[in-house]
Amino acid sequence: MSERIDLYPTGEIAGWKVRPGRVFPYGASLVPGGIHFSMFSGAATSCSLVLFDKATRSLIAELPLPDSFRIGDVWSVVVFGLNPETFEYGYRLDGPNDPPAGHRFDKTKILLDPWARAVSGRDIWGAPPDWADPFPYRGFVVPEDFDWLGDRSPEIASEDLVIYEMHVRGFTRHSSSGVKHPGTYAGVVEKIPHLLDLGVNCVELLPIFEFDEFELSRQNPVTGGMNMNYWGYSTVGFFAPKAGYAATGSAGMQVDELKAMVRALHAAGIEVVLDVVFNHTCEGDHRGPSISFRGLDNKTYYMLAPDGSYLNFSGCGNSLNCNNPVVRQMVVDCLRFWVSEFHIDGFRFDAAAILGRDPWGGPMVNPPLLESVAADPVLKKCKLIAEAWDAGGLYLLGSFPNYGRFAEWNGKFRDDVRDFLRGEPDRAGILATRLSGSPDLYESSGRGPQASINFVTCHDGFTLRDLVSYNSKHNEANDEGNRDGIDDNRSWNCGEEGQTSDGEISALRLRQSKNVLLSLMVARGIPMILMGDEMGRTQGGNNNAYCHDVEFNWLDWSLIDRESELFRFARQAIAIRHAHPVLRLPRHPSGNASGALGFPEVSWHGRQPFQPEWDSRFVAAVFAAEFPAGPDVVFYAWNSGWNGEVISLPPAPQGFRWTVEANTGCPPTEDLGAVPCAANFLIGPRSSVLLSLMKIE
Amino acid sequence: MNLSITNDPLAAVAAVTGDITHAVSAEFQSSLLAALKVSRGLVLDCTGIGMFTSSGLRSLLLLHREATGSGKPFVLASVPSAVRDVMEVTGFWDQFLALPTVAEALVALSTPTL
Repeated sequence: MSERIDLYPTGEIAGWKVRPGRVFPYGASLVPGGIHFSMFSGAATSCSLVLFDKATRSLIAELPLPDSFRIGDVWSVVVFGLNPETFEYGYRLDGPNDPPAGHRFDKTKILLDPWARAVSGRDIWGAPPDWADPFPYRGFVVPEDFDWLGDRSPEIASEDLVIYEMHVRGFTRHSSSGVKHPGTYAGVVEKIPHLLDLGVNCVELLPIFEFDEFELSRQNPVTGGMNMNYWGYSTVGFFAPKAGYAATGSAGMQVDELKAMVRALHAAGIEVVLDVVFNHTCEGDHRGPSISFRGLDNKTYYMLAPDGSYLNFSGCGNSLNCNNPVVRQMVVDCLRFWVSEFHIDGFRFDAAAILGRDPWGGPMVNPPLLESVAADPVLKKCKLIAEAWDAGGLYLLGSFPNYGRFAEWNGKFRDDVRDFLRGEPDRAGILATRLSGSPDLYESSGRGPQASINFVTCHDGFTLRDLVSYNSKHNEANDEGNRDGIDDNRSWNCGEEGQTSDGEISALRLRQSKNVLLSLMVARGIPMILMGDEMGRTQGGNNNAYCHDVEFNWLDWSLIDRESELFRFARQAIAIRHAHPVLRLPRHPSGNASGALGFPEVSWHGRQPFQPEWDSRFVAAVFAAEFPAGPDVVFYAWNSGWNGEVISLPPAPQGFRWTVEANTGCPPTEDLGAVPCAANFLIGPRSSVLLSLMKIE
Repeated sequence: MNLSITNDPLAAVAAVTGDITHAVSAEFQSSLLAALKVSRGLVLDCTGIGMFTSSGLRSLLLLHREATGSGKPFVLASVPSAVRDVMEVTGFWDQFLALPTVAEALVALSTPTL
């Protein structure tokens, strides 16, 4: 078969041979002999393609596109003879500049293509930018072919996931990581053995779409360093991987490197979920820069008030107009792109309540975007996870428009486990609900516990070690007078604020950390742990460390040795979850349904069997179910009171006995392992246990 | 880019100098494919490679696939560390047989396992 018959120039613009493009695909892509460009604007009166030399960043040519290169609201062109490795591009658009009417065209600006597959300008993380560059972010073309070597998604059942929330840079940037390329996608690959050792099977990456770590950066007089956009919740390019996370970013090979990372994680049986930020863009409000959407078609891409000002439900100045049909299509295209081109396994949608708002900000019953995402055939097997609230006060936990597809970060799980952990009275009942997969949130709408991403800590807030070490946030280093970050931490410092030399307090903190990890692994739903919580990572009490690219925000790998006991327990707790299918059943347990060995699916207990004490600091449950491999029955109890409790275990059936698999109240090395136990069992103060029924040989 | 190809009884030995980029990748590929076609194998002396881009990586992968498909050995020799680094980071290094020198590559080719 010969090549297409229409790939020849039909004319010349600014000295470059061109022909009209074919509209799709949007963005810039390689075609035989040249590059195909395609771009949408609903209100522009003219459009020019602007080409730059990649090495010198100087202007090569500006190609005004004639109206004959426009189909509907889409301009497209093929430019012949362009070397894809040596040019960058942007667009210059003209149109009305009438903010009250929603239009903010500015023909002095050169704009980034929202569909650019790679973006230059921040190629090396932290490299001082050229502040005088008026067009700092430019698209460029990358090869889209990649040898996946037969890669397939692990397609792990949701209920079997153990998610590890990770910052790509922070994971290996610390000198102790020992990797060849610290802070990069390649660094993650080198640390896959750690993930396997720990037992997690899914990494959820904080934003990796191109963002600018220098956005709103400033000298910080408190630290003497620089405040940066470390987390990256401010997208510059939705279709472009963060170059600064690639060891090869300076060579423009971030796409290859990220794909190699995904391939290596898949080969290890680990899924990759991306934290994606479609609720707003990096352009801020009317005071922000005109980088892309604002100058391309402000009225289409942003939610605007009747006076043309930006509606701000994100807390970041603007809100992407997600349920506009054009924007909706872009979001769906973007998700499809990451799944089909990068083999991504799922997405966590930041401030996802915004995705359910109409163009005027009102919550929608049936948001077209969410319906489209849920029903899309390419996304059919993706994990979809919503942060079901936004900064505009829309709180949809349990009621997020889910179409049977979206799970939710369960903020109530976080809060209720934290309350129980710190010993708040009368919380046994609500903890039982959380351990059951939060049926109060999900059962009435027919959703199982897989709708609940169970977490106690995440990037936003205290780390696990800080949760048990601080009563209050300590965000002074952020240089915002300690006003930023949430105050509702529900934490307890175990007797002393911050670091301590008191052995008893340290031991209690270790025990409390274990209690959290065990509760996460026992509860129905999908557990998520924060990077470093398995080894006691601290942020010194900072519960909003979004702006620090410094050691305390990176994972110090020497903690594995210094916190070996916690790491050992974390690993074992995860192994327990993997070993007991009864903990991972995709349904809320019922006390009326038959489980196994004479136990119902769930039975609740107190110090005496089958006598739960809901208004107490003690909760105990037996979870039981039959499986093809045999019955699986576990007993879990958590005593958050100050005193140990001697309890009577539910009687073991004939031929079986209870054995201890985890006991946070025991000294290290005695808290794990199949140890026969008596009918009366001491559960220590602020301790939790997991027992299982084992056959007497 | 400069490419000089000599014929050893065991394989064509190609020495490349200069950048392997999009601008030269088509010529690079076609020359080496032609050499591979008329020889028992191919040794690529990488000592002189300068810039090595995505296109360079793809050229090597295509040559590797072609050689594998035709049952002929393809050996990289004297790979500069920067090139090796790119191949490692993108996860393709392990697919290639790479040896420190051309001489060692030819010795390896003389063994019956290759």
